[in-house]
Amino acid sequence: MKYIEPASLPEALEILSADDEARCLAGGATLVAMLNADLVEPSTLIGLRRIDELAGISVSGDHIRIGATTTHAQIAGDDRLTGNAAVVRDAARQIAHSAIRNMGTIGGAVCHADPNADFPGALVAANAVLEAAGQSGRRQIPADEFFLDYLETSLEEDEILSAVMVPVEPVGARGRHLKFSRTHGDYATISISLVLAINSGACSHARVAVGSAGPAPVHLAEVDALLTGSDLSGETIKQAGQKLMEAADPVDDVRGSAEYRRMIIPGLLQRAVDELR
Amino acid sequence: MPQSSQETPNNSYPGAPVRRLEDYGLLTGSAHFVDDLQLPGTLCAAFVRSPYAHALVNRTNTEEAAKAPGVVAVHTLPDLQPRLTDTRMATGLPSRSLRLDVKPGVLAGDEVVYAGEPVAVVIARSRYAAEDAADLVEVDYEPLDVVADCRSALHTDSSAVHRKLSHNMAAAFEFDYGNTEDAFRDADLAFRESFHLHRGGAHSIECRGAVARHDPATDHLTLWTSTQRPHGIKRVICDLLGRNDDSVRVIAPQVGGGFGPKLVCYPEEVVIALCATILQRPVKWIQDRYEYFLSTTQERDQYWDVEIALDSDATIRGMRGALLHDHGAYTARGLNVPYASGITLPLAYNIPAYHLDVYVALTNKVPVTPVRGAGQPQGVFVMERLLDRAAGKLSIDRAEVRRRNLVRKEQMPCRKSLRLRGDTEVILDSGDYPATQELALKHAGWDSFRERQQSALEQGRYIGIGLANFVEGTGRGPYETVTVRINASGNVAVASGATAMGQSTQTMLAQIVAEQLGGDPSRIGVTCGDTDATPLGFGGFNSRQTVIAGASAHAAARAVKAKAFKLASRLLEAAEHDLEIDGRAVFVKDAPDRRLTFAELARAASGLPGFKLPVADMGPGLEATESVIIDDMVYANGSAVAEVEVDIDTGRVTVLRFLVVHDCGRRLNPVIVDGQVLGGIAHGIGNALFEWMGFDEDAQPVTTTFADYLLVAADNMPEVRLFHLESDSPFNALGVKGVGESGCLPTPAAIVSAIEDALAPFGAKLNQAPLTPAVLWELIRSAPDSAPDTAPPGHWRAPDIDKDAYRQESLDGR
Repeated sequence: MKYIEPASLPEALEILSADDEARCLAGGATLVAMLNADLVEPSTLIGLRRIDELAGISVSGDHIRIGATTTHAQIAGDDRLTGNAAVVRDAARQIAHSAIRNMGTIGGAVCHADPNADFPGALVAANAVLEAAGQSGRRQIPADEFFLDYLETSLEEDEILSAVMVPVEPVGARGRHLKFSRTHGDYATISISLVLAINSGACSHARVAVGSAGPAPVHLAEVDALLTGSDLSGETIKQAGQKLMEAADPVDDVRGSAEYRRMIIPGLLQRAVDELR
Repeated sequence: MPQSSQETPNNSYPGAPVRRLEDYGLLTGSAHFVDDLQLPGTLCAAFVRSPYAHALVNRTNTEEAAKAPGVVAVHTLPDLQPRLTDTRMATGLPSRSLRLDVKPGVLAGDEVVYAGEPVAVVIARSRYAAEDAADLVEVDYEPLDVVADCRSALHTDSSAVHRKLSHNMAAAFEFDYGNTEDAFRDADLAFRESFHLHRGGAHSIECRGAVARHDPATDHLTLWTSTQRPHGIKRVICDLLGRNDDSVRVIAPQVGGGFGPKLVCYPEEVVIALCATILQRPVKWIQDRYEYFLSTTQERDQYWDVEIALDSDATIRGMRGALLHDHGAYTARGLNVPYASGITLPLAYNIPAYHLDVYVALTNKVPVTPVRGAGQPQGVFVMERLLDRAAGKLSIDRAEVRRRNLVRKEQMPCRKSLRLRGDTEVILDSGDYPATQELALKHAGWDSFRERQQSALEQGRYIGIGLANFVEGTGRGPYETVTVRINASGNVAVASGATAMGQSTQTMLAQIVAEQLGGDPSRIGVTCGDTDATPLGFGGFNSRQTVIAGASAHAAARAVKAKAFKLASRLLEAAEHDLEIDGRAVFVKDAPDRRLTFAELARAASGLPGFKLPVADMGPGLEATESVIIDDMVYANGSAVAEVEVDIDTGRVTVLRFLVVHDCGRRLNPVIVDGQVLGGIAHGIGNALFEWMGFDEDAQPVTTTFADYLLVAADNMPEVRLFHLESDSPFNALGVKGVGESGCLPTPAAIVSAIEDALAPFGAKLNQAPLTPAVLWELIRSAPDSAPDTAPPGHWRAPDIDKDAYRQESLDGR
């Protein structure tokens, strides 16, 4: 296995497109563990850490740009991630343990597309857009269309995720990533990512996504519509929770049965709303 | 942060929170664990393991692996067999109750009986090369029927765990005293409950590992291995390799935790030792966590079906029932786990009649041996749950039911109608069990809890409180040898067969010796876990070393002190009763200038060529070796109170507060005692709520990483308060009892009791551990529909078993 650390994104893209078996390495929190367990055997590892344009968080106009190699810890500690973007920061805070947050990156996490991870739901709730860089240019993919299936994204084989763009609007919104897990640091059994804006008692914006509930975050436009404009009464939340529960398609595993995971969604949604109200 | 309060302050060396001798090496990272040994020319080993829980091994082809880069050797059992006196390892304790002789193999032969069983070893110049080549070993397996569940293992139509055997009843035995028929016939209340108790692995931070080196010049074989019992390993290696005792040395270097499974000899230790002699190069094998999950012994499943009979005033009349124990595929240690479970049930309480049938079933899983607590937490759990249930049925407070049945102080020493596994008596030596419980209730605010619970409930919060008492047999004999010597350089050296695995054994021994010789324990050098330093020994298990090795250290230090005084008395021309010792010198009390340093005394005692020794009737040197024989165990006790909150939307449990009042007799070092108890509590919380070693219906392990198998981490620990009583044991000179395991004994029982209390509005009946959120949520959800007598999850009814139908058989056909 070869290891290369290109200094620029075009250079990295060139190596990637020349070698079908090459994999990009960002923080290594997951990929290195998979290498150790012989689960993947890439021919080449392309280390991304020297590529400056992939690193860091910047605010420009109507969105916050989070470079793909920004660590979970950097995101968790950045107080510019407020309003609509707060849900992303809240998710970053709850990923695994601090050692892993210092190592893992948002780009690595979303490209791995583990449906039990925290970022996918949070990015969908924040209506984020993922920027994919290819040799022929860049394209923007809404988070809703990025996560396709277990460990599968809409990124092409010769593309590299360059950044995650989180809209600033709605400015007055608040976000919560409610993670329910067996213990602190475990993957979520179910997570609720919620962005809400409330104006004089009524909900003026709502976007909710459920993680660990299927091959990709569960997000229903009709649920957002149901909540938006409502007074967020218990009955409304119950209906919303019911719809999300019906749409969820989780797996049975050590964290709980599929049925258990589905059934706890309404209660957790109510709790997430209560915490934001 | 844990808090500890000392009810009995004590400032002498034993009793003082002296700094640990072990701290410098461990805290600076300079301590040597087995993987830190870097011998020149070391080769690395990797094992080929069975992917099947049960299969025939038709053919093994090692050709490709042997040709791989860096590979030095690939061995299967037929390759090693000519150099072995036997292909199976005698690692278990004897018992008349054993029906099946199922000793683990050095490597698997023509049959594999659990997933992870080693089949071949690859030795290469690097770990990478060894692991890559291990993938190239081709093994032709023919899968056989699998016994995945100990409940079906004893069915007459069950397939056999070992093809050569006709059944799976590894052992059957019983506890029996008093007249249970009378007890039940005349009882005001009698009822029956079943329990499913699961414990996982031990998961020490350091997995297993070994390094072996053979010296051709002297034909000496040295094995460094991460073990709790170097002497036991040495015995197996000498026997299997046909070596005399003087040619084998086994050393336990710093051991990063043992917690039970490191007390048996494993195939890898024998194979590594043998390969080092074959290849004439040092060989190292370091286990990774995946291999630990697969191949390090565990504790796993027990099913209980038990009845209790009481009078209307809650006085216990008797208990009877059955215990089914999952033994795994081999006998790696013996019957000590189910034995300890059965004997623990009636220890803390006065129970006039007791009958328990114990069935030990083979399964196609990695063998079961003790994990911290060794079956005792399960016994405590069953007893305490039955008392909670009785309290409910009699409408008497749970604490009051216990108060009326606990063994009382005036009964001490209390002879129980039970025998230990070695056929010695069970005599509870000391302790005030009712006072222990009262103190726990007082500190927990037990009496005012119902008000707190009510006001929490008004806010929609479900909190509960639970209580559990335990008595633990500690200090398993018969002895542990200790040598104490004052060297000619004036330092004090201690050597013992005791073995340290992180429980501060060196500090413990140094404190005991320092009490006799005076001075600072940190100036005393202690060698543990080295078969050359102390040829006879047993090692670390069963919360035994402070009691057993401590007694020998105490006796040896006193003997050395007596020699030093005798010699000083002669040389200083002073009466022995006028002398004092301060760790560096012996001097005359009223004239401290008249003194002889330890160095001067030791040199005088070792003599000069051609001159008479200074004291005619005293042998040379200031040294004594003692092996104090101790047959009876000593019994620590304690009471735990847990307070929990259950989130009824998800079933998640939060332990809000936890306290233990603990009595292990005289505490030699209160900080070390607290550390041991806290570690045990952490383990117990894991057993109550998290740790689950999962297997599927093909007996394939499904939890083989810490992402799936949950351990308690620091951030899952609740506030823990420890309180201590000190009922000195009358059975040893130091008054001590063991403490290494006790924390995990009452913890699952207390927590599950508290959860049941919190879920009382839902009528929850909890008869299993661990309890996951999903299990609790299901109970909460189904509460309105379920009848009061619905069988709880894990329900098991003991079938009629004809013990005589299971013949005595052996894998060797003997």
